[in-house]
Amino acid sequence: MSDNKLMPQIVSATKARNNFAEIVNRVFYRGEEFIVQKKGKPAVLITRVKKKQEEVKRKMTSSEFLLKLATYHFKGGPKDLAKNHDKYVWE
Amino acid sequence: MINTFGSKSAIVDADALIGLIHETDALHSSCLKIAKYLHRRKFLLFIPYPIVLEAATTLAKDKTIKRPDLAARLLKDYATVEKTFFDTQVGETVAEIYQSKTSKKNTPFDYYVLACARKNNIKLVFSFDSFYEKNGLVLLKNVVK
Repeated sequence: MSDNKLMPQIVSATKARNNFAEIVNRVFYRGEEFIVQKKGKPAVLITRVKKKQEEVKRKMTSSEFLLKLATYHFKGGPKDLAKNHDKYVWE
Repeated sequence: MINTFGSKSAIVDADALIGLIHETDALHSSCLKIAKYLHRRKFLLFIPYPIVLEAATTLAKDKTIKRPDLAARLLKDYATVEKTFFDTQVGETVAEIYQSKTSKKNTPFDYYVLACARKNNIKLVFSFDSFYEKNGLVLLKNVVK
């Protein structure tokens, strides 16, 4: 299984069963999350109880996040920064 | 296919994030209009972490900006967003669709977004890059008038 702490990792039910001890350890000690698929669709989320309780307090939806970006009030970059951001950074 | 939320889902690209943050950007007002539309309509949004990193890198490393504080703020705010369950295991697809000879204008990040959209059956993209349109996605700027 790959190492990714930010996004839940997707595993099949079979893979979850065969690696259950490892999954429990990674969830408990490293705070990772796993989604177990059933018939190709996400069915079960394995997460640390404490982490879940903390998350309930500080959740922001993706669209709220986008609107929050507009409150940064950053001005002064090139007018075409958004459109050509890769050009500005990498060249 | 992981996304089971149908047509009310969209994927977000780095130009949209930067356009929202950069208040004097030519795309800022369009970005804000689209963001409000998505919020009002309760869209399920897929904002892949590599895209957030791409936007943060622009803020931190661009020679005309150099604002790592904004990059840090972006990363911290993203860390507080509720999780959405999309399939991000698209490495094989990106490797397959990235064209080494014809991809001078678009970066592997763009192909990553395209692959994520395809894998999760997402048709709408919050971006202004016609590359996605050419590859079968619908730009939200054409939906939100």
